Amino acid sequence: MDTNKLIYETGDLEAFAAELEKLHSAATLPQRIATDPESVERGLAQLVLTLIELLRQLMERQALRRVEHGSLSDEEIERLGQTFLKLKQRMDELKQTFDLRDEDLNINLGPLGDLL
Amino acid sequence: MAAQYLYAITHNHGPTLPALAGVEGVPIAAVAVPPLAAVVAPLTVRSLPPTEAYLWQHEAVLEALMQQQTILPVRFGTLLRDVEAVREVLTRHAATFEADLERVRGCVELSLRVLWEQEPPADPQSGRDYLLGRLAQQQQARTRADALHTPLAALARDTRLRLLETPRMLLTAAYLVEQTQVAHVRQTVAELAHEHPDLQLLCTGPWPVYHFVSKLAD
Repeated sequence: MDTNKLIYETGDLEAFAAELEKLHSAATLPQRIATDPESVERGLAQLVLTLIELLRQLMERQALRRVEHGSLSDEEIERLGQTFLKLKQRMDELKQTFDLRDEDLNINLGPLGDLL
Repeated sequence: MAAQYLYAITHNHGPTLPALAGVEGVPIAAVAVPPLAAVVAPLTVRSLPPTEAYLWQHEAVLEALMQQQTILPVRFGTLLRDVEAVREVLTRHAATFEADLERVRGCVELSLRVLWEQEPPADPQSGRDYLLGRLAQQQQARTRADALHTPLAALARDTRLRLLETPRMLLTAAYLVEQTQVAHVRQTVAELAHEHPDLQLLCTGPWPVYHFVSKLAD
């Protein structure tokens, strides 16, 4: 970065660069799925898991909003929590299986991101 | 006819454009539809890859213009078919551009990014644990972000704020600040950094007012 642009900084620029890199790589879903047998599975898995992860996040946020507003009973909170917990654990396993990192499953939603 | 690369929208009655070469060394020119004007340069390419060199060349043109007058920065890589297409955009969106120019007059954009270290949550023992844990995390992020954002927002004409773009990126904010307030903001950021030693702050600028220009429908 042009150091003239630095107004104030604590901590380490590398750490910021690493986070920005994650955001940046999030914007690049594969334009096309590689069709050689080695990578086709992973490419498809990335695409599908990205969509599932998006839905999971949206639903979880919705659930959190409802918990916050007190519109769920204790039983409902437990049941929803179990569902999201299991979904998250399953996603973690799948990520590991296909060697995908969190940032590989991030879609840059642009202005839609504000909805989250 | 050459495609027109678009840098910025300004008032037509502003000072004469500085003699500047922009992307690919092509000199900039104005296309006027009074009271507005677009700052453009003819390019023969069909698209421009966002390389670091090109991005800084784009930025350098905007900053030179900013020294002279209020501008609406156009985001990198915007190419229009020809001069006629530029005129058309100026005409069609004249009201929006004029309102935006008024809103950002005399202002620059400052950017703030903040990183936090979060302890990984204990393994949840129940569904309830998990959900309430997530909620607590979210509320904590909001509280911590507010503590930084509120004093800075008080110095700004307008703000954009996003929480947790990544789990570590607590806050990403843009502030529309009058030029005369930049030093004040810097001082406030320094104070906030001292009050929150466990957070990492990165404040940059002054930038063209990228985040405070209306998005056009097309």
